[in-house]
Amino acid sequence: MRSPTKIHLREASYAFPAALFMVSLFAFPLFGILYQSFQRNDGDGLTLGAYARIFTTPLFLRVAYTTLEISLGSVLCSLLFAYPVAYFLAKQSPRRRALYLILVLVPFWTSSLVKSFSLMVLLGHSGIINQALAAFGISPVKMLFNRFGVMIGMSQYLIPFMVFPILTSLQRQPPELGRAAAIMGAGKLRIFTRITLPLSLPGVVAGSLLVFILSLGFYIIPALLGGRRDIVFGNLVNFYLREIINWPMASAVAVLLVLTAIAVAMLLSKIQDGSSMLSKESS
Amino acid sequence: MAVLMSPSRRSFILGLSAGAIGSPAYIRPGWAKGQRLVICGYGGSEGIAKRRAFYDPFTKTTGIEIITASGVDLAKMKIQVEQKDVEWDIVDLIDAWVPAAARMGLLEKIDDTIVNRADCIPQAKHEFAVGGSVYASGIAFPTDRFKGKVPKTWQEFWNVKAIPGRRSLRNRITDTLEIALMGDGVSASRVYPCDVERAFRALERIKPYVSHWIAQTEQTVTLIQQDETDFTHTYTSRVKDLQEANVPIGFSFRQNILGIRSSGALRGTKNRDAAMRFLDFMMHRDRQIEWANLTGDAPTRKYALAMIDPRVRKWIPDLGNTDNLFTNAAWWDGRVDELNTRFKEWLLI
Repeated sequence: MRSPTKIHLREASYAFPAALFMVSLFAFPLFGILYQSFQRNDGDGLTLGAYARIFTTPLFLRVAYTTLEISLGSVLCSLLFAYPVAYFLAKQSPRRRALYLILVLVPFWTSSLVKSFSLMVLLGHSGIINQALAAFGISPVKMLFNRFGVMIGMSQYLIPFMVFPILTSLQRQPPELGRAAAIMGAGKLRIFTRITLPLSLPGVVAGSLLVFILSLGFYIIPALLGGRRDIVFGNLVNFYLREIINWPMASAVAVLLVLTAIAVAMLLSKIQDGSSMLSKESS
Repeated sequence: MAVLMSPSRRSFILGLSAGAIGSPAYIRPGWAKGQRLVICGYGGSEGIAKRRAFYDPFTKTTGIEIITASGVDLAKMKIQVEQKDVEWDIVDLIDAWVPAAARMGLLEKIDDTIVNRADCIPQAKHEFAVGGSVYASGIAFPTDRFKGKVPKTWQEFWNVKAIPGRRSLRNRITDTLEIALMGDGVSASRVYPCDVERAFRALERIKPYVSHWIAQTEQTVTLIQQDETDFTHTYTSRVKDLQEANVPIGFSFRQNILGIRSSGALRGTKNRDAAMRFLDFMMHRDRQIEWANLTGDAPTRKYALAMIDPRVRKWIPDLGNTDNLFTNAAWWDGRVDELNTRFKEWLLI
């Protein structure tokens, strides 16, 4: 009988190729960027100049605020659409569910660029929706190149990421709970608010965490569908990287973005622990 | 069954490895034959015109093959020069990119023993780049809406009461600063040195009426087509292409902003002599005239204007017209970064 440590080592060794891949192609470059953020732009030597400039320019703070706003907005919007979808899917037979899941995933499989252009056709000034509104005498609504357009574009991409964790969480609830409550006299609404919803919170939080982290890094959708106020971290990194050619600044922004994501992830996972304890208590 | 399978598998592998060994010669046809140049440009219809006016004639004359790349990017140039792994021998640059690239040490000094730039306008004679042609930008507008009530000068562009409509400008400060001054009433000859505060005040006034601050040049004309905006700042080449495709778009030839298209050799290129020969070739009078006929740009070699195709004449910017503004790349050098950052901050408010 091998000792526990030897067994663990052997199992861990299966992960070595993946670990090597991640360390060399992900961790090393990440440390390279961290190192570069401390460089001088005009020569050699280390400095905190890039970070000093970042925290003293209003540009960075505004962009940080906008990024957080857009990311939180994306979480709320996708939650709004994804929860009913997941609820509906949880009630389906497995075969039907698989079919519907394909429909949920279709936008996920389409390229971002194609989706954004198709949204332009739909939401544009002379797009399909505005033409329909014009038939009723309503003047065109601006749905593109503003925050609304960005929210639609981001949600369209992020809904599948929200649906899956919530669906898993809902599926894990034993159906007897609902039946027991119905026998005791609870109406459908009560069953939902007192049993289903609280028990699905871990899934909601997991999905929100995922969607939030993903949307922090988004760049193309705000750039294509947003207006002048919808500048996010990705745009800022691009600005310093390719327009200003100040790579230490670009690296510093990237580092701060990663730190923000980590901070949010830690915060939300604390909430997640809290909510799963809550759901254990209530069941 | 196994006997039938293995020879076919073996021959498959043999064929694959033969292909792999032979492929370098196939992928880079010039490798065995002699020299080749890699030129990075802006692609699109401009790239096609460059093939006809410069690249193919050059290959015919000298036998040196030309391979094109697109996506000119100062950041990518910087990586290549720093890593001493220069892939692009020649890059196309416009206006302020030339002093910027020169200051970053990215370009080879132009070898005047090979490149002849006598009797060219002064803007063609930068120490590190050759200026091959002059392009123009100005106000574009739709011709199927507004019934002619469109701005033709920058002051009219700024006059939102007299000429209502959605405006669009570029999302960078270069050109936009000068446009703002002209919109505020400054004549072209007095734009430089720029009164930055006055320009920003003028931009503040037009801000509520600007529907798009355009990032992609393509959109400066497509947004008009799609009825997402009405009056934009765009280039003659874009409008010319669309008019030739019968799109209802018009262009004002008043108060145009002139810029210079340059080309330079990346520092550390392994084909320096061939690159210099190409840069010289680009400046030959007959080449410049062919380029002018294809694109509507003005040649930088003097006395070439008379020989241009009369049908293209209307597109050629008038270098002598004092109403037009020639971009002053030297003024921008050293100021672009700070002003561009200020502009981006201003856009966010």
